[in-house]
This record gives sequence, C-alpha cells and structure tokens, in this order.
Amino acid sequence: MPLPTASRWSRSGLLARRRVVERAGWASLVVVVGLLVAFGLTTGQLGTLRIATTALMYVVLTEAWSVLGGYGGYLNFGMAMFFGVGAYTTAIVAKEASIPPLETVVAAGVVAGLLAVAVGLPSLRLRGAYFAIVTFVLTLAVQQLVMVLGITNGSLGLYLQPLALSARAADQLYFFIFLGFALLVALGVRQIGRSRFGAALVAIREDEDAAEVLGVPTTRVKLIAFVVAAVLAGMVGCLYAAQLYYIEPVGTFQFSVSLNVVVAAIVGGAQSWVGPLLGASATQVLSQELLTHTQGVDGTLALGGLLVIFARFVPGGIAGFFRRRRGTKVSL
Amino acid sequence: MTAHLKLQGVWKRFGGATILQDVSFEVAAGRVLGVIGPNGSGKTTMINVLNGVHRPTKGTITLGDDRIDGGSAHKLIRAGISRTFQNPRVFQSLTLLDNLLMVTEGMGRSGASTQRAHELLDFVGLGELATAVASEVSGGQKKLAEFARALMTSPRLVLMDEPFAGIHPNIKEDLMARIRETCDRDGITYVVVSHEVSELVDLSDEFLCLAEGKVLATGDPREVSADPTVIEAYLGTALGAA
Repeated sequence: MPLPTASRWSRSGLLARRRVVERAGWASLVVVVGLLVAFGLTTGQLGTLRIATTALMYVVLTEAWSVLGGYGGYLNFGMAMFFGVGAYTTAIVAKEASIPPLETVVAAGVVAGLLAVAVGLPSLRLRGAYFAIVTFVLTLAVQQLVMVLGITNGSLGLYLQPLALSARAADQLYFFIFLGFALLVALGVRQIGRSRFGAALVAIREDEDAAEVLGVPTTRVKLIAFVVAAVLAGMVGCLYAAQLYYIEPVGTFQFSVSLNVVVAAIVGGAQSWVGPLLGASATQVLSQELLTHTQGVDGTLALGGLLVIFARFVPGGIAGFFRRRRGTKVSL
Repeated sequence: MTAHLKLQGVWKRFGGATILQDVSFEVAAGRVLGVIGPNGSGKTTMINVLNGVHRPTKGTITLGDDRIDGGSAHKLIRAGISRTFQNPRVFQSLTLLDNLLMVTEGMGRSGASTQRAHELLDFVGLGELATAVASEVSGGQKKLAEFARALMTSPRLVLMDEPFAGIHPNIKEDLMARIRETCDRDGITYVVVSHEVSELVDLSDEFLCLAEGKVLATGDPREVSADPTVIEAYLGTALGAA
C-alpha cells in the first residue's frame, strides 16, 4: 500500500480541523436560535422586536444575494427591484383575488423570478461594473413604471388588508416567520455552496472564461443564481408588504434596500452562508440603533464607513477573516 | 479514447476582419501538431474556434466521428476537448487540488476523483503542492497545474496555447515530457501553439504554419521550420511576395 504524500496528510488535518470548527458553529447557531425564540416570545419591547425582524429580513435578502454575488462574484444592485415587485404582486393579487396577503407569497416569488429571467438573459452577458450598473438602472426604471401604472395606483401606493391580530401578536408572528425563513434560506445557501452548482458559481467568480471551457454552462448557471435571488427577494417583498399593509413606490423600491444587502454581504463575507448571517445582523442592528438614537444620515455614514473599512482591510468580511485565521484555504 | 482531428475550409470573420481563411488540415490520433506563425496570424483564434469559444463562420471540424464546429465551449469538453491558455487561467483562490476537482466533481468531494486529481498532480510534479493556493505558486507551476486540470477531463484532444512561454527551462522540459508521455501512452491528440520553434520541433510530429489567417505550410517540423516562406513570414515579408 503506497504511503500517503505530505499533501494528503495536510489535507486530512485540514478537514479534521474544519469538522471541529463546524461542530462549534452548529452549536453556536442552535444557541442563538434558542435565544431568539425566547426573545420573540418574551420581549415586551416592540421596537426591539421590529429591529430584529428587519435584521432577519436582511439576512434572507443577503443570503439570497450571496448565491450570485458571493459565490458567483456578480455585483447585483437589483435586489430592491425584485423586493418591490414581490411587494406589489402581493398587494395587487391580494386585492384582486380577495385573499390574505400572506397567501400570495408564492405568486410574489414567481413574478419576481419571471422578471429575473427577462432581465437576466440580456444583462448577464455583461460583467463587472457593467452588470452592477444595469441592475441599478433597471431598478429605477421599474420604480418609475410603478409610479405611472394604474394597476399600482401610481405614487399613491396600495393598501393591504392587515391581519386581525393585536400589534404585539402581529409583530411576533412576522418575527417568527422571518426567523424560520432566514434559517431555511441560510441552510439552503449552505447546500448550494456544497453542490456542483455552487462549485460552478465559484469557477465563474474565479475565471469565467476558464469555467466555460472546463464545462460550466456559465450563462445558465448565472441565470439560475439570479432567479433564485429574485424569487427569494420577491417572497421577502410579500412579507414586507403584508407586515406594513401599505406600500408606495419610493419606499418600496428605494436603493438603500439593494445597498444594505451589498454592505451586509461585504461586512459579513459573501463567499459562505455564514457571512450574510453575521453581516446582515450586524449592519442592521447598527443602522437601526443609529437611526433610533441619532439622525438618519449618521446611520448611512456609519454603513458607508463600515463598507470602506471592510473593503480595504477585511476583504473577505467577518467570515473570511476567521476562515483565514484558522488556515482554511478553500473558498467554500 | 483516441480521435482524428480534421478541419475543412474553416473561415472565421469578426465583422469586416477575416482572421482565418480557408484553413484545412488533419492530425492523426495520438499525434502532436505544432502550430507556428507570426503575431496576428490567427493561431489563438484557431484554438478558440477548435474548442467552441468562437464558432467558425464557414467550414467543418470533426473529431473522430463527431462534428464539433458550432458546439459551445462548455459542451465540447464532453466531446473530449480540453485546453490550456496563454496566461494560465487557474482558479487563483483555490488550492491546486480543488482546481482539478472543480472540473469533475465540484469542491469538497472525495473518492475516485480526488485520487485521480492527486495522481495527476503527482504526474506533473506538483503532488507536494496539492493544498497550496494557486495564487501562491509560480507561473510555471500554474502552467503545470493547468495542464493537469486539462487532463482531469480525460480528453481526446488537448489544445495548448503558448505552454512554454515564460517558464523555467526545467519546467519546460518536464511539461514537454508529460505531453509526449500522454500522447504515446493514452493516444491523446495535441495541438500546441508556440513561438518557441526549437522546443516545438522536438515535441511535434507535424508542423503547421499560419500567416495572415492562411495555412502557409504543413509537414515535417524540421522542413516547415526551415521553409524560406515560413522564415519570410516570421520576418514580416508580405505573404504575397513569398
């Protein structure tokens, strides 16, 4: 039996160390989820509960974004577009079909996904900053369209039927919906990272031309990732609209939704499923606290400062920093 | 496993520019075709047409019994076509091992693919660097890793664009030996584009010289490299005057 080479030993040592860290990570996740459940059931501060709900909403959006943006390396500034389309789909379908807004969640995801196919087919031929600019401009275009269409009630916006619950019960319900959704999406993104699809996205991020000649159908893979992000953003938009029960174009399609997602991904680290959990939680709690205790501009400044610091000094985000510290060299 | 490569009347135009003009040649299975020609003669375009990065404007290309012209790059790898690039295009933030595994299994998989990846890295002399991140190895080692990655797909035809450019002479020698070995042992057909004519003469079974997108000469490597029209093409004399 041939002796293993040094490289094989070092890889097995690396894998053993990764397993230990992974188990510690799972234990931490279980504890955090347990604490969040206890918090949701017992807290008397509705403001804090709403901040936590918003943070969980951004966890879902950032996890969704990370599929193409983190694994695939495509900077997508269009999350607000899909989020807004999902919200408007909910408002329109719920009104037209006379059903509770929460029952339109699938329709919201489907419509956002179809829009992603239509937008993605031409725009995913572009790379780098060009793709980022197109997704940004398309968001503005869709927002303008919503402002002039009759079905969306223009700039006046649309009202939805609120849940027949007390404010506290409704806030608790949406907190637990977003908590469950965030967990499901995070675990789904983790599975994507371990799949051949995830590997194909990493290959695209590393070198798209090389990936193509090595057998990766790059256009198809990018489009699927883009659609996955859009469907999830559309579903989040549905929950957002149902929670607020009033939506209008400026607030729903605001660029800060896309920007917050990108900042969260960069701060947390977009190249793993853990990064968006950390980044979205940290940036949202920080910005919501600043918004509460100072004027809004300070929150934006703080996020901008964080973005610059992490992009310059911690390019892999919080998750990437710890991964490098423990010597893991692979990206997934 | 082995396959005969045949191009018939292949043209490639980009808008008004004609890059390849009526290119026809054949390479028998398990042979090395060395391709030379001055800058701008269409060598890299020919490689790109052969592996589906560009579709030929006109003409047919067959590998064995399979028509491969018009196939997209990601599909042609399943037809047994693999390639390397002029500047090695390894996945920089991944380990050399993951670079190879990425091709067949995705990352983090074990079993037969991992064993084959280790064997190929050993074969090109990079076994000890399997867990090294690609960005941290030398340019020559990247070329070797890229070659191993090309072999990972069990190809019938390997296209190599300037494999010897800018690498240490010892690595160059190793690479040539490995190309020859896989050619003779596994019957892999090679099309190797290089400006380093003396090395290519030693490696190749046949030569093809391109100039201004046309086939200027084909045949025995020593005869083609000594052909006055080929030398004139390299020195910049107009093709029509040759």
